Amino acid sequence: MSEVTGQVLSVSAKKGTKREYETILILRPASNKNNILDLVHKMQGVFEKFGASLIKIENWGNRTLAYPIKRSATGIYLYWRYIGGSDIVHEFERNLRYTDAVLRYYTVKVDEDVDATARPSEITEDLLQTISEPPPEPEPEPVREVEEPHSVFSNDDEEGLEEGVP
Amino acid sequence: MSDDKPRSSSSRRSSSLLANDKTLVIDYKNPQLLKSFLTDRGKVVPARISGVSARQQRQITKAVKRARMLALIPYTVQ
Repeated sequence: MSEVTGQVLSVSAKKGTKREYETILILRPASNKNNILDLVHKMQGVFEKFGASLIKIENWGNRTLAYPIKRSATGIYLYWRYIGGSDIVHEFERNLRYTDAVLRYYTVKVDEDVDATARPSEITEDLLQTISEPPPEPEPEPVREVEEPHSVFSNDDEEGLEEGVP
Repeated sequence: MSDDKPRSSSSRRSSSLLANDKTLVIDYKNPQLLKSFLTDRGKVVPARISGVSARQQRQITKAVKRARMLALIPYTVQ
């Protein structure tokens, strides 16, 4: 753990390549612009230290959660995409755990054997300014293209069994 | 085998919907799409009813579980 390699420690990985990960954070709805900017800047330091690079970051705005997390009914979604070695996810998530504003995080490996130089970072200071402000329209309910898609399955007989319908 | 009636269970399959689209990309970040594979109670619809392929069903269940973690879709609906 003490050794910082920035490499992918896997036998099957190609030499000199990295992995692409994406992490979604849910922040407390009370987080303001400065909180988010601080978090991003702090994490950029972590990425740099571990030889990783942030390539994309998006703010999905303050959304209603499907269920409350830590008594919060809404949360600000931040989507991060980055390239790094085996140890970056561990370190990134460790830092997130220490951040009070983070309600939840989830990381997915998107791609492996990535040439880190082939994917330039889209991150600029201007972009960080814009993402730290939530989008003006807080995600209007998308128009349903298929009319009530799940209603097709609403008469699921298994549902009846579980609810003990006589 | 000769005078069997056609199986009635096939009528439950809704082959029309999204199931025929082989190029459909199942993404856990797309709750609107995933909701079409959930019952009103928030459970995953069996492949025999939704008519999706086994491969798609595996992708769907995985995506649903990820999306639930992120509170994009609920675990249960009361």
